[in-house]
Amino acid sequence: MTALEAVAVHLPPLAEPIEQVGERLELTDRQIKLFRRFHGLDRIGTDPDGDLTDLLTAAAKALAPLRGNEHRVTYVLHARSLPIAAPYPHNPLHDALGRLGLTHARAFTVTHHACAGSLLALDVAGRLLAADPDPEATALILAGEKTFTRDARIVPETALFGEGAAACLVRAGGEHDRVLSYAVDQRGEFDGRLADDPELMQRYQRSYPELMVAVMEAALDEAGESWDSIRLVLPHNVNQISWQRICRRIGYPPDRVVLDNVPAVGHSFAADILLNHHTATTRGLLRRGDRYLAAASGIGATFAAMVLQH
Amino acid sequence: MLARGPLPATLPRAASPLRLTAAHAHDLPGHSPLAADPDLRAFTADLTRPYGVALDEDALAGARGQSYDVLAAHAVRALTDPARPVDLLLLVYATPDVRPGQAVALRLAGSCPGGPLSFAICDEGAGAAFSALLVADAYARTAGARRALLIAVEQADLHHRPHRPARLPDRHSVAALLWEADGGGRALHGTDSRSGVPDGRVDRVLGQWCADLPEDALLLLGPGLLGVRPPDGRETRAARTGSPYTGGWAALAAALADPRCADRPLVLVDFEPETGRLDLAHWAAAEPPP
Repeated sequence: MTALEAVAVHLPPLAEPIEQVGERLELTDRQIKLFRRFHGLDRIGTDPDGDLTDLLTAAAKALAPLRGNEHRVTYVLHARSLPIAAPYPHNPLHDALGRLGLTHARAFTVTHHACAGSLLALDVAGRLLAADPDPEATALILAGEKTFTRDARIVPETALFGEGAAACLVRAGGEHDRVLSYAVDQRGEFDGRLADDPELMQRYQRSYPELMVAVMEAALDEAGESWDSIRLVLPHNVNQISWQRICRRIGYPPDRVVLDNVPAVGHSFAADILLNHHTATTRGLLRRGDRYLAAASGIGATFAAMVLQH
Repeated sequence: MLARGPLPATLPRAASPLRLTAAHAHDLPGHSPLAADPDLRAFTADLTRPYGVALDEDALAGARGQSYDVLAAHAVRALTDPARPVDLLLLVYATPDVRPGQAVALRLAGSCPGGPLSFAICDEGAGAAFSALLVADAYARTAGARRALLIAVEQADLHHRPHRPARLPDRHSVAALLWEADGGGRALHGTDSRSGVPDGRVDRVLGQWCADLPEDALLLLGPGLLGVRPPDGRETRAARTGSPYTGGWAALAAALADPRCADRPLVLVDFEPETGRLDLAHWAAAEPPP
């Protein structure tokens, strides 16, 4: 079954206080206070001098097991939130392949699941590898984006985006971090610009907890697990309060949701799940055999969850 | 809601369960009202600023461009019906939509019969059409799809100046393929791919591949093969070069609709000069529906 062989992260060099970010976004003092006190945000990771190629390259270079094994990489998938990330014909993904010695790999971006895109990429990679005649075939998933436009900087009243990036090697089989289930719920009725449409924003916010819980429980059912058997939740890093509310709703201990990166990095698009995986394993929060659940939602809207076994 | 359990680590090598049963290609004249949305200018300006690329004021002021949502919806209407629900919908593109931030695939999931798992593949030029074939095949082999709709879209208007010469569509087009596990159609006989092919060696690789193809196969040359010498002794048809990212599938749709091609294998080959990748997909002759 699909297994994560290794996960690495790249955190941008600059961590700006949210007051500074908020000032650039022309947020009011009240809005900035809301982000700090209510949503638990503190700093946002950014790299003003680097472009998307730099970001993706740095994440992949942090992946030690990739070095010397480039020839094993058959597929490279960029799990991306935004449908377009560079002016055509610039192609940051393929530019990164050139720097990484991976131009032999079949490489494309999977998108339109917004910030739930890394879970989609894991599903796509797992299926490509299972269907590949080469049992040694490996996929490299890259995640991370630039905060180049307002919609890539802020979800009103909800989150501020950061430029954390991650890389993950995936195999069709393996001993740890095996994917037990994947559930996804696509809700095109929430398509639109939340910033311009208060009614849409209200509907999305009202529906969010119920839809998020439903997709997580669908993933648990499919894996034959329950909340009692889930050691850890790897969330998307929108904010802390929404996960605290979800925990109250399902009766799950909030201290077992990995929220460390919310105040430190910001919501790093589809990279959040992998960033939090790295944090969880680095902090020793997972033991061999532990079941854990990753969950994310993306504007548009997609809700997705995955159960894995460490 | 779609949910699945663990995937197998390995699969027995067997023929792909999916058959190519229908295809549709359509050009759409005119422009979308979305091209007049001020958000398009704001987004494109933010997108291009770090790269030092200039906006195309004519395209912006002229409100030119077409919507991928509208283009793809044509294909959904043409190739699906509620009695044959779709499990997987892949949207393929290389150039930006007139509403560049919109997750069109999600909207299509809501209107396509079956409410399929729906997402987009991009950033690979002409190669993305072949990646979509591989992804659909992989979903079918791992019990993730019995009916897949693959939709390639391109629209002619870029709202910034490209930083160097690049292939651009000369019209707004959609081309789509319907793959089904149940009955009839054409089996995917095989695929091949070669990376790092210099422009000058494309004809040589193509010639090598052709040596292994059935003699009666009709070779469909994608738009990226403009100027490449067709292999000797092979009947070929060239796709429209003005449709760099839908032309290959449009040529395939035309061949599928041609009764003279029904008993012949079809082979689609295309080259993406941006990445140096040459791709081939080979379908068997048509089988009658059961």
